Amino acid sequence: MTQAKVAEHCGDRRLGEPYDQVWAEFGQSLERLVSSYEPVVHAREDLLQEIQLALWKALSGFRHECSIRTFVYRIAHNRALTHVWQRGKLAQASEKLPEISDPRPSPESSAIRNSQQLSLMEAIRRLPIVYRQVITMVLDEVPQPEIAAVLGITENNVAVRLNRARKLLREELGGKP
Amino acid sequence: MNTEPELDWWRAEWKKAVGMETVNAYNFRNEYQRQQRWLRARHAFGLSFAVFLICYAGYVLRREFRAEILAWAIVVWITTLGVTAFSMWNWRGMWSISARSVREYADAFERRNLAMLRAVRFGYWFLGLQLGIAVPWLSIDFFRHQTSVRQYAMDMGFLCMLSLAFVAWFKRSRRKAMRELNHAEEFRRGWQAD
Repeated sequence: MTQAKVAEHCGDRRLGEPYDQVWAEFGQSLERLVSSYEPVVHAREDLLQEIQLALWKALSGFRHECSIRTFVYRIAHNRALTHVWQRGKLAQASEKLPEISDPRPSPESSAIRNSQQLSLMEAIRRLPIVYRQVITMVLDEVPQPEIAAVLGITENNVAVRLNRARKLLREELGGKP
Repeated sequence: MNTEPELDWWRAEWKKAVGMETVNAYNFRNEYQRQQRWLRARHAFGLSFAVFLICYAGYVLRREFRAEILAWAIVVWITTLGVTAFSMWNWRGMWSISARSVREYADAFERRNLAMLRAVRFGYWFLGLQLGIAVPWLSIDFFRHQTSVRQYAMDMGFLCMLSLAFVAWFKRSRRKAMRELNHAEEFRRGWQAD
């Protein structure tokens, strides 16, 4: 999907196409982003739904003042932060849990099959949110200027946070790459 | 250590972590319409209630023009307009913030919670004012023998129930806003550490 395509369809909610195109391109990244904020499977689904709804609502207001990726990531991070702030103690407590299983075929358990992936995800979840935000976007190959635009900080700040995030993540993983 | 292979390794592992297919069945379009309907209904109800109060006070005054009724109508008009104006002022520019940068969003989130705390303070003040007017008013009527004991007890009971309900609601809203403010503040501290 190109930005032009989204631009073409933005504002025409009847077709539902801008959302569908955006989801096709960024859906998987957003699922990973949600996993980095929320360890509990059913709460993760709730958060992903909240992001879907927020995106769908916001897309008609997209005025190309930034790239579509910046726009999407802003909404997703903001919604995820609200989720964390509103859940408060519940979220903090659940952050200490390794992974809560679900009786249904777990979406993530089917996706994250090996322990390396699991330990990477858990290590990322243990990072402070400000570093988690940067490292998850870097891992999804979001360019640094766009990360700066998503977060509202300078590119230098992004670089500083990325260095600290990498250091912390390395420590969390026991120093192994 | 050459850190780029490390980042590449993390990236490769990170990108394998996908697949929450179940949530794609979620019909957020219906949810959006439900939320919109609810929002429109709330606004319509608030506005209609304010218009109704203003018109009703005018109607009562026209039917029975006395100094006491005039005073009552003026209180109704002033408080209705005051509450509406405060509400519009307090919540101005607080919505449609989802696509702002995280920094701006955190600021707006904090402002929204501060606005909620302000609304709660205003609510307490307004409740006090209403009770300060209603209780003496009803009591004077009762001591002048214009209302029966039963009617007076019912009116006071209704006022008590209403006041308790509002106090419970204010307390709950205040607790929630304070909790969210604390969490946002914690995030901001981490943010400012850089």
